[in-house]
Amino acid sequence: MVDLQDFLIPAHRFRQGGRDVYACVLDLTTLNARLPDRIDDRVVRDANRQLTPSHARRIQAYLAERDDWVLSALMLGVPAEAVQFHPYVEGDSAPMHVGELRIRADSTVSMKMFDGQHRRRAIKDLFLELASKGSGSDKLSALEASSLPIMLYVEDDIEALRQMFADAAQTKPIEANVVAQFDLRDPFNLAALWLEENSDLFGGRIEKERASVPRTSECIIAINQLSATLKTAQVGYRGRVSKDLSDQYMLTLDDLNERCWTWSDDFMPSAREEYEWLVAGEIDNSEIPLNRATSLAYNATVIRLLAGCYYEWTKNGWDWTPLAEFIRNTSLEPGSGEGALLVDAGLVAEGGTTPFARAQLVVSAIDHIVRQARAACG
Amino acid sequence: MAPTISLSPNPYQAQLPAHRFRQGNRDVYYFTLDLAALDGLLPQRVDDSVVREANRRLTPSHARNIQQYLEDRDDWLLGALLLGIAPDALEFEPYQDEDGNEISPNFGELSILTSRANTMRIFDGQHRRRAIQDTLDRLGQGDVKSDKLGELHGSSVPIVLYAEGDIRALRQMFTDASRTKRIEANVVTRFDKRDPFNLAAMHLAENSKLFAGRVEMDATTVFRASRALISVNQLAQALRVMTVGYGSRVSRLQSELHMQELDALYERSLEWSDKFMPGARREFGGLVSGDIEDEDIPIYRVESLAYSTTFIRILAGCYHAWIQKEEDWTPLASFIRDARLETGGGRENLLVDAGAMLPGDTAPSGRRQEVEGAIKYIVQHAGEATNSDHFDDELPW
Repeated sequence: MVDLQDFLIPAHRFRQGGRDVYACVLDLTTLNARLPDRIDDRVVRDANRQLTPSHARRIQAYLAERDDWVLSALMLGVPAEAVQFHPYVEGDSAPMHVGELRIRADSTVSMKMFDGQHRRRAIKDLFLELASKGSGSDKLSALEASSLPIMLYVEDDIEALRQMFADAAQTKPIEANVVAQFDLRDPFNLAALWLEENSDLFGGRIEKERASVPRTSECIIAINQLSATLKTAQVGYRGRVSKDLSDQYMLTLDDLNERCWTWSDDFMPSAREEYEWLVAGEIDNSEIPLNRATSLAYNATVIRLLAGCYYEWTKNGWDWTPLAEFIRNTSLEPGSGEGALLVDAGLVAEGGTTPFARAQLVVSAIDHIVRQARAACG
Repeated sequence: MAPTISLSPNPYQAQLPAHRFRQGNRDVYYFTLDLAALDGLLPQRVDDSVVREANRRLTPSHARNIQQYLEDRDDWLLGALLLGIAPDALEFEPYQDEDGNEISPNFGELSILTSRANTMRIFDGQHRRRAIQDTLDRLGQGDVKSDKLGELHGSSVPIVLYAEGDIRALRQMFTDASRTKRIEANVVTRFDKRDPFNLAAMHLAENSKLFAGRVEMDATTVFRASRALISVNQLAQALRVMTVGYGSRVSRLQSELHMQELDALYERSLEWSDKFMPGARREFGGLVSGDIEDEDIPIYRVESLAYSTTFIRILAGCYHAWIQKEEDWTPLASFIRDARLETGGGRENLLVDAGAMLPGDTAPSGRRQEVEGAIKYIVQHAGEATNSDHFDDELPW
């Protein structure tokens, strides 16, 4: 237990937006003892949003499971009277911008964390979890030797801190196509990247710079959409991949790649001549933008729909050939009316040129197509 | 009394006071850089438009937004930039006091080898880095240096430098660091007081006869069982639509004008919420008059689409489109009031006919093209109904 006296730490002092800011580092044990923790999680309060327990638990699991974890700086506001800064002096020179920061013992009450409450909660809960399992684990030792950077803003006005929270949160979310390429802990990202290199249907036709495919593109799907589609082909449109299941896929990646390949290069070309022509080289990639006007087969929602149908059909071990035959004999022409597969399935409005991407409509369309295919093959 | 320290001279290009700590089995260094010093030390993207090394594409508009923020706001803040560099490019020497004792084993001078400095990679913060450079470049043009430039030259940004040179590891670190929980729209509406429509929504949440006490403040959407009509962020969005039209953007200049004339914005918002809306639907009129209790809202929601937030947004879009042409919104309200809005309806249901909902559905589509189409349909048909009424009035018999 840390002694909650005033405490001294080395810090950088700098200015931002007319305020003094202190940059310091706290080891996780000190952080756990010193920094304020939410007690009323469920409401928007002070400079904080609601605390979402599931998000804190995800960070806790990440810290517990990964040895190469990364957590960025926590941001707090503190009243001016709660801190004192004594700059170091280099010989006879002017005071430096680094020095010793004294934080008053009672500052925990007046400090307001405006960015990082979930990380802070995750650290607390992880320490409790590890402590309940008994002391001395390697993980606990590693965590105790780890630290987090802190940014301490001299500001205690709640309205200003709320604005600072809103400002600090104006980040640009990482695009799904970037996640699919960078996050190599996800087996479906790996399978999508593998298909990009090995699939006759998808190789050279995957958009990697954007999260969706522009109408004028010569690609048929974005890398993130392909990753989601492969997941659909394996666990269904609504299926979730638990951590255990994900770990299993990671352990048997070759099998996963093989199954994804069967779907992409066997089932898909059998199910639509548009894909067969691409695989056979009868359609040049440069024709794909034009062909979009005549077939919905080049639409990413439709490709995912086909993955959903494939899963529903094959999950009990059935041969996918009858399903492919049924789909091949239907019309996917945009602007159609009743009698067209996707209009009848409720995924495209009569006369519509794009499918609805709403989950409930896609699920219902998958159900419709699989039922119709079963009826067709008796 | 703070100790006096002595710095040892060394030949490195970059020498910085820094914290050293451990995270995820890596050494990490934490220091600050003056904004003007960033350009000299941190790498600059040259090929912005592709996913490259540990970076996504650089989006110029996002960098410009940050630049605008830095230039416009005096109370700005920027979080730490995250970088990686090969461990062998770094040396660290703890500071010593005048007696030769370490002040702290993890606080000292970080030296970055000149020959390896160019291997430093930003994996989180490329837009901020570009915005800072562009701001300083723009403000530095000309002979007269602004106060703002002086203020920025006196400001710094924290840097977290990971001793990690492997691109694949940095890519993974980028995705890990980016797994933040996005700030919820209702929280933005409540906290960001620089947006006039956020302020107007908060004003209505307190002062409107229709919305006061019926705005969900702690969630971004309204649950089916809720007694609230709309969430605070949805209300801000509806007021934006009511003011500038569905799909239109509010420029920075327009936003500033609205901020200068907030009372007028409040007044227009109240006209829409407390006069037009109750005039357009009995479901809203009943709430204002007290004929419908708040506890009945979840029950009515099952029967009527009027309590759908998409429909409320459609009404805001219709109101905007209508008053662009007509001063009096009464005919539009009358047309909507007489229309059928039952859930699960077929043809002759207003939202089905307007293409915002499939027959038999219980909720309208929130998709932009359907909402836009519905607004156009309703305004057009309300206009036609009004014209035919006028025609009837003029008939001699």
